[in-house]
Amino acid sequence: MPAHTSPPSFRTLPAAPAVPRPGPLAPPPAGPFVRGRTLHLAAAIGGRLPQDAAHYREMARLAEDGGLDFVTLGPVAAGATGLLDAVALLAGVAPATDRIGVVPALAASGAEAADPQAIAPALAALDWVSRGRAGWTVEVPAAPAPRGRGRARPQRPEALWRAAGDTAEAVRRLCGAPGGAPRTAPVTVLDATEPAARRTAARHADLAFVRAARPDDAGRARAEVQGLAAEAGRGPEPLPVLADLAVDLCGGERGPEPGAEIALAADASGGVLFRGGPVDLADLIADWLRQGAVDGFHVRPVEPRRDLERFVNGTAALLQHRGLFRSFHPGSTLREHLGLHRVWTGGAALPPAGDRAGARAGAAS
Amino acid sequence: MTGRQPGARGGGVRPLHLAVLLPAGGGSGAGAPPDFAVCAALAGAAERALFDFVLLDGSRGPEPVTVLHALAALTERIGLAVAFPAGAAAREPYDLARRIAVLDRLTGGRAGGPPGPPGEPAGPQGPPVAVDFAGTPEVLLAGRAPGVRRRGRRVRVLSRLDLAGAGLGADADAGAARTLAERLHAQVQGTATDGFVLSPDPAAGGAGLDAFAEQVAPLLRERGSLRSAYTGTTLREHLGLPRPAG
Repeated sequence: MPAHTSPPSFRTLPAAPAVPRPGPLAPPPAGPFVRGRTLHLAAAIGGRLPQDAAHYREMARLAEDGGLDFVTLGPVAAGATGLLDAVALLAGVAPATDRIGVVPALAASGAEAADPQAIAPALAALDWVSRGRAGWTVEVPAAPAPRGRGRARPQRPEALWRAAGDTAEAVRRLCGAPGGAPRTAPVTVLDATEPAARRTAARHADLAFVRAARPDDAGRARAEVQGLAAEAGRGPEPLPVLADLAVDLCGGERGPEPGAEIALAADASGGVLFRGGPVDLADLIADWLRQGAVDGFHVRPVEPRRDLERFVNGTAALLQHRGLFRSFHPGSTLREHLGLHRVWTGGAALPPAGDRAGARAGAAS
Repeated sequence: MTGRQPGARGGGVRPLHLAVLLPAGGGSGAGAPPDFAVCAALAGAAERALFDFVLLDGSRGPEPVTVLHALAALTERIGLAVAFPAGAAAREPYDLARRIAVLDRLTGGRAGGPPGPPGEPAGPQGPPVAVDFAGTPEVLLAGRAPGVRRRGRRVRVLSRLDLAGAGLGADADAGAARTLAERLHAQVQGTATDGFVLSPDPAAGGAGLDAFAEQVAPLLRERGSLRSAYTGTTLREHLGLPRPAG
């Protein structure tokens, strides 16, 4: 992977296939911190259509070259595929990569949920073959789409989230099962967009996603989740919150003309869609980061190959050049990438009051 | 075809099939499983030596199908199989069979595992090759001493061979390799067995197969019982097994 990357000509991004990333350049002007905060970037490598294993390997290597923290892979397709196929495909990605985290999405509650007894061994094996780079996103089935156009998809009941939290806890305990050297459980990721999900995220997630069209909303969700985490007795370790964004980078750049605002729009699936150029996206990320809204971004390319290439070679490279994003992985495990070196062992033990106050104060800042 | 397997290597020599048991389960002394790099190195060495398949013991170590997916990414032709010793059956046999079918599909027909339930849609090699320690699988994993062989073109019986006690290694004389090659070749030609599952010396780590590949495999090739190139792409083709009817 490249230790340094220089920016391509940002206004004239080449079309696919990817250009070789340009050679070394002067070191970035500043460390990858904004107000002491590390920017985390992650990308989904799935898509609407199932692909062969080589495709996912290629996408993950591309993301790794861009220094991203991790890649996610959702259920590949409805119907004939199985609940653990995302684990299988990412197990094929792991030996083809060195540093990037591998995070399958697995149903954790509802009728389609996998059993913790099945999830945990598969995740533990993924962690083993990737040498500590595994995580999973705890999926809760979407509520049925409402009839009638333009009506919002209803939120999922808290009981579904609580059940998912129980599954996450069971998986965490099973992954740390006796019989081996002490192991760290795979990183647990949960979507905390819906208010009913936030308490579960606060108790069980190592990292949360938030779908929000405005930085204020994302920041409020982040503060609430982190506040609830402190209330639940979580220690002072961070609970990073990443904005979850579908990205369509086919469009031309809009900025920086005055008044030309980069806006996000709600998409049909209850998510948020960015449409524009890679530089616009870098500007948006920098802006949200400056406002302290989130700790990073998880992007879902609308067109997997095109948009991931543009995100890596355009957006991420520009953020690196501006000193907002690191250009290499300083650690080797996913927990190290995310600053989660210490294992969260569940809400049983309350840390000293001072730590809790500190965590709450940190969440409010 | 009387007694000759499909794909028999010229001159009426019976093919000798080889597999390697990967030490993902750790030694009997428990403790953490070895690093994945050890498994990866052994699988790579086995493929370079043109083995039929790598084998995981499903009763120990990290979840085997996930590990086989990772090994699939590092190899191109060698078969990928899991088997469960008697009394250590998979917890969810139907789920396991389905996941092995996914492995088979993603690898273009390189998977083997416990006999699955009938009625699954056929994959690249028909059903994945049925591999088991007992019963009537397509590949029967036998004990150390070759016993009475069940004849038939629908089954391959593989005997276990511990490399730790095989007398191979850098400081062994070439005679040990020659003696071993002659014994293995003779056992297969005498129909005592169809081949061997090598169990590498755990102390040798990822290099556990190197001595066999460098010293013994060439002698087996000279005798015509070990392939000098993969002629098929699926595990079923490597083993010369027919597709089950239906």
